[in-house]
Amino acid sequence: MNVQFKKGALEMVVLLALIKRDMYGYELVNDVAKIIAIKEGTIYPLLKRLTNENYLESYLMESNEGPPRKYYKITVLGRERAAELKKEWQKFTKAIKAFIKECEKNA
Amino acid sequence: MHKEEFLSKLEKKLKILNESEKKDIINEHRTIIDEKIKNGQSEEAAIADFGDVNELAKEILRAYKVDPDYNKSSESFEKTKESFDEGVKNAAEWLSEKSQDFFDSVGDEESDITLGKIFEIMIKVFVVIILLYIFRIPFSILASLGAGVFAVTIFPFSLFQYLWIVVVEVLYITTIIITFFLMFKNDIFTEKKTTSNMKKESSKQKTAPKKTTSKKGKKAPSKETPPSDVGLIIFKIFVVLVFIIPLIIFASSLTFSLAVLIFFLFQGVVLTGLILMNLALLGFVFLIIHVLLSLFNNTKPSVWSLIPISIFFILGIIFTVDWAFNLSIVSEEKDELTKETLVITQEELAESTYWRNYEIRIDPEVEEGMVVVDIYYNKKYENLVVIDDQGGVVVHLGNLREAREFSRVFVAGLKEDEIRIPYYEIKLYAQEETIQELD
Repeated sequence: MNVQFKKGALEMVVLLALIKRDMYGYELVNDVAKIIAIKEGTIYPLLKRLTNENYLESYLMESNEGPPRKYYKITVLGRERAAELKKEWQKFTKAIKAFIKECEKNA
Repeated sequence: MHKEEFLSKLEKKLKILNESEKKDIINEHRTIIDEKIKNGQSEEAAIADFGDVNELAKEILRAYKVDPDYNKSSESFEKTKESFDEGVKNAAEWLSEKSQDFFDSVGDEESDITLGKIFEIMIKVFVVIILLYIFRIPFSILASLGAGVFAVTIFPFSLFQYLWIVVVEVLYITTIIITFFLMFKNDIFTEKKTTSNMKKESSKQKTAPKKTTSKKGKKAPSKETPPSDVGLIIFKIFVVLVFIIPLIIFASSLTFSLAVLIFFLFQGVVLTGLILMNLALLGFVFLIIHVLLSLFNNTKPSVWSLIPISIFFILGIIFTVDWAFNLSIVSEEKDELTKETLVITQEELAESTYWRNYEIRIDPEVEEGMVVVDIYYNKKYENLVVIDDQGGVVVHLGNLREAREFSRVFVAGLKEDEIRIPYYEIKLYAQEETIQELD
């Protein structure tokens, strides 16, 4: 898929994924990779940015294996942002779908 | 690429971030890689998923709203150094592998750990020695050039040639010290890290690692030693003391020589080449100071002035060479000199002041207590040698008068593209006892 499409959708997907439950880095990477094939290199900076913008919070939790893991948790602000992005996305895809249909009809 | 290598590269690129943030990022990436390896991915593949380190670092910096190019100018240097280090490391590894068999047969189990390191340092020292010689060339050109310029000036200024040589030598030594420091900075600050990496690499590369080695490799602390702030401060103070101060001295001596050249200009001697070169050098010194200072502010130094500086310098060299080829040095033959002979008493001689450039010879034929003075000089410079019979002072070579006369002659010569050096010689003859009393 087009890299620009992926990048645009990534923020929303990450926020939505974290609404389900708190996740640590690797878990989140795997979860997101299921729907968007994207390099991890893009996810980490995004997490950092979302944290800096107060959409996410992070906390450390001991794990059975290895060092403590850093979990990401979505904030209230993050939920609002997710909802907003989702709405925008749906509106956008609806418009695009309609436009594609119209183009096909006239073709 | 190995995990530690990847992480240390990433860390280097993120050095603008504060320590805890950096640690956090590195840890996060370390855990992700570890988890992937645990889930059956190879180390290489786990790292490859992150893509290019530079891109990753840029993305992260953007997340912090840091201009990812903040480090551009030093980055190219870092890159050169990195590839240099890598080359050295590879060569060292090759050498250590080659000699491995030999050392194995000797049976020294520790040797395989440090061997690569030893070779690495040996190669670096070798390269530094070569650099030492290469750096020597421009500096010695600079030294002889400047010294030459000052050497043809009149007396008080001609002393500056020695100052110039000292300054250039100091600059050279400083450059060498800084080169050394940059070369071995990693070895000093992060010795632990490198050795532990080397251990891992060497134990991995070997098909049958020895038990002791692999054990040690695991035990070796994998913590990164952060480049200490104290070290940075010491380095900065060091730069100021050993680099900027001599540069300022250098700049002031250049300003002085410029003043001399302007003085000549007012006398009607136009030394375009030397003035241009002087201006270029002055500009260059200030540029170096500017670049050094920008090191402190972490700002990008603007080096546009290098272009006019080099133009000035090249033009200066062309003009100077042209001038120097047309220059003739006028030396006075001995037979052109006038000889004046005076016979004076020992006391009279003692009262005569300002004698320079004379020699005393033993002559038993001279009367006891008397001194024969032979003065050879050119009639052109009558003012230079004043023979004064009054008041017991026989030969008067006033310091100030002498300097003025020298400069007059010199400037007059330069106007005609000649270097005229006034010449005089004084010979004293007396009995041995008289000479001993004179001393």
